[in-house]
Amino acid sequence: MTIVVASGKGGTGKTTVALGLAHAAPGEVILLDCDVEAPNAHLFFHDGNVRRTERYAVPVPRVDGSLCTGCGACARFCAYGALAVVNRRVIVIDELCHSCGGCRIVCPEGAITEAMREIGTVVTERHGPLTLITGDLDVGQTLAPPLIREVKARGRASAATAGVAEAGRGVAGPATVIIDAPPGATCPVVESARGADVGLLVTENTPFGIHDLELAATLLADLGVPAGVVINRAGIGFSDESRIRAVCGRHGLPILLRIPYSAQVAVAYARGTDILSADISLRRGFEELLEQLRRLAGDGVCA
Amino acid sequence: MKQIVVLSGKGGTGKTFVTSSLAAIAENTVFADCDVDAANLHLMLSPHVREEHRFVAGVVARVDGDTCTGCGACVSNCRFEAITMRNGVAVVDPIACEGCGVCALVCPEAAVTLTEEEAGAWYRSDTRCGPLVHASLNPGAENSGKLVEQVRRAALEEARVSGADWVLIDGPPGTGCAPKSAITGTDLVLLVTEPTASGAHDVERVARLARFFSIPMAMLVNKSTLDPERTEELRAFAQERGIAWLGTLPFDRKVADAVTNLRLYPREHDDDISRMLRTSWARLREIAAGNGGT
Repeated sequence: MTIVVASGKGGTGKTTVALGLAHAAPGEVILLDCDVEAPNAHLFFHDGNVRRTERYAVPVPRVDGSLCTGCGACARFCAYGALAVVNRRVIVIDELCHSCGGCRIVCPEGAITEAMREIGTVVTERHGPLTLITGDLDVGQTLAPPLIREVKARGRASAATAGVAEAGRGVAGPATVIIDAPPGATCPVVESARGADVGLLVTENTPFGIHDLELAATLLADLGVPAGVVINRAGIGFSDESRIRAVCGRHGLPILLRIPYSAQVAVAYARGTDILSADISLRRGFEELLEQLRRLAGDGVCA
Repeated sequence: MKQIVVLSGKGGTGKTFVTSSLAAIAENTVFADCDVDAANLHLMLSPHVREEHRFVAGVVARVDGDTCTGCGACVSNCRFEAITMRNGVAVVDPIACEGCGVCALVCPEAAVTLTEEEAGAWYRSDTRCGPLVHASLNPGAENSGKLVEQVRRAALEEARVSGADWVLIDGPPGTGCAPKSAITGTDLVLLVTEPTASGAHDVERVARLARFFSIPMAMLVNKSTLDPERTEELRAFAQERGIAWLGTLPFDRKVADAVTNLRLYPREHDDDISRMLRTSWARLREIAAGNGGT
């Protein structure tokens, strides 16, 4: 089962909930930190285990000046403004390139080849039965989606080598894959959530939390990912849940878990302690949450 | 006229709380909500929308099923895994499509058309604190960086027309596409962070981004009472990097209650939190005007 944890608004507790699920899940767990602009899940492991760090690169065009006639076909084709012709010479602006490869195809002289440009790092860590794969986009790089695709591909490979069914393809298997998505509701979240069996939307009972819950709920519905809701820091915000329930009603989202606000958990989080280590009494809640997610994902049918 | 942008790296540290509170204090200021993915500032400022403009992010591909012969050239050339073959015909997933146009280029039957995709809207509004430029990006849309640029351009125009002295920008989380568009060409970055492992980790990343653009920075630590020790570490970090230290705001239920009720904190309370917000705005103006230093 592949679970994507999203929220819309940042800071509602995505990483907290993803870690809670990871620690409560039985058997092999693969946690994918797809919040590549601000990856934080690794800060909650302190056992000093071996990390494997690999640089990640994307293809960008390189123009052979001896073949280029300066016709401008590449610049006219590029949808992202990454190529420009100045004095019949092509200038490539790497930062704007989306690596679609179109310029290479469209060039009538065969003057364009592709070179690899590093934009981030993929870090793999093993903590007991848990594999954490983190995408870390270099500060100032803008292409989060391909790095997220890479992290998910590594996750699938990891699940496959663990001798389990392929993750992220809706196939039931003993490995639980948990995707910690970035905030927002646009392309990086799309890339994180695509292909997940079930989504978990973490919100808080505040105007911002609820406003952005609606955005994230719309996105998961468009992607065809069934989802449920976790209300984090329950007790903070509105005195009743009528507004959250209205959004959940509109989108057919069940409320699966309430995590009460606790100063103890907030302080533990600040220090880099995961939620189940901070309060073991929440374990049962997370175990039940996993069961409910399994039912939502429809895994029960295959089991 | 000077531009100040509020950033954090990590989401949920209190950017919008701080921006809306500064809005309650600031005069002669135009506000811009550049967290277009999940815009919230308008909730605090309850705007009257003066103008609405549609935002087109780019194009999206569509395959004409009658013309398509199922040769698969588009599928094998698409780098975004956006096209699949269904019943012998290519089908584009519009959410995955990045609008590059490669499929249209390689299709031997000219079965692919590229159509403009409306991705959201942006607005010029009036609020109880001053003019606000804001936007909403449709869920699943692309190119938030381009929309951030549009919002900033419009905010600058507003400021010029109204003779405002300041543009205060509520920034997006992260360190990528949208924050880069929000930070470019500003005069000062206000880092709003919290003394948590994640907050400290991510603010260091944003500080690198601001440093890359050689933009001066100031830091305000929110929820400081969660971990006084790490708050001290953040203060030391600020000092070491030449980031102006504004001070701290405690973790306080009164703040959560104000935001829940969409109340502007400094207009409701005359306490240490309001005083810190007032002195912060004064310091920010000094620094942005070039008289502050660290």
